[in-house]
Amino acid sequence: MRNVWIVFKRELIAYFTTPLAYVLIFIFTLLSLGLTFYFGGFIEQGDASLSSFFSFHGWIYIIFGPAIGMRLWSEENRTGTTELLLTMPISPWNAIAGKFLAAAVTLAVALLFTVGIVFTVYSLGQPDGATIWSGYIGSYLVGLASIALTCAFSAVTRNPITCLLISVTLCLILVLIGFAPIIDFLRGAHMNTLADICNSMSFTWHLGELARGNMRIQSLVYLITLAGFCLFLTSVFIRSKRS
Amino acid sequence: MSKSSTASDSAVPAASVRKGPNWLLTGVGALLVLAIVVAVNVFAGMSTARFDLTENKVHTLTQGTKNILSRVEAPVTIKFYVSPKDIMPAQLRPYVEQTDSWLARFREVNPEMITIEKLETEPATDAQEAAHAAGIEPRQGMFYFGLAINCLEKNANIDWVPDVLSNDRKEDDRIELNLAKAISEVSRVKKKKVALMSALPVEGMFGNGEWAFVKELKALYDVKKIEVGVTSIEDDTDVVVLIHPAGITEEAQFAIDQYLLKGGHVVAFLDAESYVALAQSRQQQNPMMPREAPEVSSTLSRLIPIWGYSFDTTKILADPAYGMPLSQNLVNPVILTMGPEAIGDKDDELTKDLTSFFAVYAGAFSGSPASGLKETVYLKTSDAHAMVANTYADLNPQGPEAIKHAQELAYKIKPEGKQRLLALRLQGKFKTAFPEGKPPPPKKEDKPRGPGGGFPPGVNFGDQGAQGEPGAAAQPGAQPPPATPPPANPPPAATPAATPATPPATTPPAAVPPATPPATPAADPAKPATTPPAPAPSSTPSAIPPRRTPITATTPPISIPPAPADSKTPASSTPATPAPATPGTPAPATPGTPAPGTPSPLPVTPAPSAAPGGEAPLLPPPGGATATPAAGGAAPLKEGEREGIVYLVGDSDMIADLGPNQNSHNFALAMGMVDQAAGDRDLLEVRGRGAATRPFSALKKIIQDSNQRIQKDVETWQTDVQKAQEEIRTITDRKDRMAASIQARKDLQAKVQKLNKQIYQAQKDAKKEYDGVIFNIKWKNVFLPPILIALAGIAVFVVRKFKTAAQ
Repeated sequence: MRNVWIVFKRELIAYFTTPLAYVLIFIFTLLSLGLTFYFGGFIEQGDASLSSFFSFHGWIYIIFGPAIGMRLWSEENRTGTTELLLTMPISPWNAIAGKFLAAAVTLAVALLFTVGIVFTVYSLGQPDGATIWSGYIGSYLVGLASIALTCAFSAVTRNPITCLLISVTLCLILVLIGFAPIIDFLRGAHMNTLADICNSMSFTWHLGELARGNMRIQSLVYLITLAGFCLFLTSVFIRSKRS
Repeated sequence: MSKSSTASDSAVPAASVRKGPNWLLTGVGALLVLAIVVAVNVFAGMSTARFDLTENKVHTLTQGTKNILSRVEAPVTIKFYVSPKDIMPAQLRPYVEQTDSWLARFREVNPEMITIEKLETEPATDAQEAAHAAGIEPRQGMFYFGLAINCLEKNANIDWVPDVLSNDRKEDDRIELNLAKAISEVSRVKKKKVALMSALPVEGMFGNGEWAFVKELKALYDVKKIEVGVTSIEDDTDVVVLIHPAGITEEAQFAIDQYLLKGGHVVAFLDAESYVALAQSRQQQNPMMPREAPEVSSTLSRLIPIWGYSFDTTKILADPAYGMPLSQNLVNPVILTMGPEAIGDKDDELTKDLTSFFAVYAGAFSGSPASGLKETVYLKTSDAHAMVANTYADLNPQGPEAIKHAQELAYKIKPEGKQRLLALRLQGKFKTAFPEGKPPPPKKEDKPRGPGGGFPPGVNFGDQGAQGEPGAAAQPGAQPPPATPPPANPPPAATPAATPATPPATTPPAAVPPATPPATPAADPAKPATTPPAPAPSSTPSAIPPRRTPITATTPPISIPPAPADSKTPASSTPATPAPATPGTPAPATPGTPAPGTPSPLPVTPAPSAAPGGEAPLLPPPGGATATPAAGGAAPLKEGEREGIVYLVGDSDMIADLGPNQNSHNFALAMGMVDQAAGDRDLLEVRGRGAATRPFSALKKIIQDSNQRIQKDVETWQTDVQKAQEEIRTITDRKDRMAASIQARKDLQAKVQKLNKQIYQAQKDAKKEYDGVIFNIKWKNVFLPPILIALAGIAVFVVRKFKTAAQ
């Protein structure tokens, strides 16, 4: 655990002593809140809920998750410090967990900077509090899954931009397969089973359910196992590299 | 991967080698883990386990539904008739899945008795024939999407399911309530008895135009119509429902009084200015429609004072805090869209899950309960309310006249600083309002009026309820609903042929004198000279059947079609009955001549009512077979024998088929009152699951406050303008060509211009203030967090720079 803490601290400092975290959080807050107020009709709808706020999160994580996670391992690969790190008396899992937790904290900070909207919605009406927290949990889990996915690809690439592009593509696919027009298209083509599978694999559907306050075990299991499996894949890739 | 493992593993520190089996971290291991992950997800996908985190548990069946389903003792079959997906428009397809999900939840509760059958309904098939037999008709002649519920000999249906589903999958699914109701309806062995009194044609005419509320009452209860001149109420009546009992006689009030003293339950929807009656009275301007409209106000003049309250029928409630927004900084305070803050007792079983209400030209109660009575407040006004002359009631609530009135009221309302009540319950042992005994029967000329007494046919509103009526499309006479889609109902062709088409000429554009004299001259705006006829909402079938508008209390549309002219209906020769307070001597039980097509009253059933099996009464049983009839030979009661209950509501339009009512909790509240009075606790609980809006009440208050701030100045300026204009007129009338007069007129005109500019500026400032608030909200939310994070980044950068430089 101490090893995890050491790696975590090192990564977190790396995030917040360079402009990366600030720029990313700046973009995240500006996009999520700007879209909510100027395109989501937050005021115009007059509804004391954060449904319009969370509806954009899936799309934002297409970029934001990979942007946070892209440098986790690819930077180490590029500078050749992966081997050095692994010669230290820490297991790959310690390193993976430490790096992932640092990225997770960055994501949490980004979400923390949006809680102003919660106070706003409470000052304007009487929202359903539990639904708001459920939405935040859903958003955080989707963000973690997208970071974990990126983490796995960063372990096999040397160039963070390549990692970013691959991860963005994958995240885009995971968002699009739950996008209503695509699901409707599949159902229209009598591919109901495929439509169901797509829904259950998509970020969009799970985030939507959680943002409505409908916390399905299925959603929690999917997002947690997806993140867990991606971290496991990371360890497989690192081990193969070390071998 | 495993090829080089031997060589490299030797270089790895022993600590890391010991961690976990190495074979797992290979391609094979990864595939195995992937298989496990997929299996876990498939298993989780099959599970329906979830946490419903919403406050009202909107994703979970209510205990009321579960109770209803558990009580089912005979097999109930729910047939889901739906068109094949390749025919069904893509937009509707997700709702098929949604419906499947709801049905599965229903079946889970009582799988032995609830059977679900899904029938893909294609043309020229047995399924199509069965759908027709079950009363499920296709929309646009091709799409089936209905549910037929059957239990033994009884049937019910939801003919178009999308009407009761939310279009954004938010919290407003009403399928649970509709299904629970249908199952309760078909599986209930004996219905409770409801006596219904109304001066309005709530049951419609010619089998058309029945109010959704009444239709629902009839589906759940054995409804018997009683006249406003009724002389006695049967003892086995479970609930008496009064809907705008305009012209109620003293005898009828005595009958209600005695019924209450025996422990009866009364639900009364009174009105200071019934919008429906107002619309009808406008239609009466048409010489082709000689029949008489009911009075626009109704009260229980003898009973309410004895219960400790007053109800002024000459004034309507104006409450800027709940006013319907007309524009960004203007509300119509006499049309109320109320949120949870209007609820009096938030913990009451009836209101605990309700959040939004709509009222139009409502009256309000003031006072406190008489001794022995307990008050429960359901809806109350805000402190900012005032009672204003009912001449502010406009037929077209979004028309220019209404806007003008709203502008006037914005500055004229003097807050009373206290609250009045809009809906309340009184429970306890009532005292008689007739200590002198039974009132004498009215004189023949004072014959009570009622819907059977030659009233015009039912007023159909544009947006019907979930059970939408055929021919529900709005007709001329009022502004078309701007935010409500055309009714999701059959096209006009489905209107029964017996209903005569309304010629355009029936829309009365004539000026109408105010129904009641204004209380103060200042508050007496001129009535609109004409009621601009508006085009009816298109009933042309679109490619996709229209769906219910999401709940938006901001622009509630109201549309009223005129009643169809029917010269065959005998005209009532009865003159308008004076206010009920006027003691009259009504002829005993002289109902008006029933209009053709009006359902005749149900036969009097002397059988005593029985408590429904297995249902624990929520409230003391009403009347009861033990009570003795007061209207017969027995002496009238002076004091309550048992606890009675009265529900009082100050607006009968709350349950009319007005579009905004459908998007509020009005029906839930009203039906909840009847259910509670009749002791049906389960349906009451399910009703809480309706449209759930959580409006931005703070923004409304900002509008109200800014209007009040400029109120005094604007009033003064308006008075000055009036004075100056008067002086100008005087000078102009003198017709002298003196230079002094010309100059004086010029000065006055300049003054008027200046004052008008000041008024405009004040209004502009008020709008600017509102816009400023919105800008602040946006700025603080959208730009402040990024700025803060940017500042933090810069701070860290500067600190690091200094530290590096120091080193």
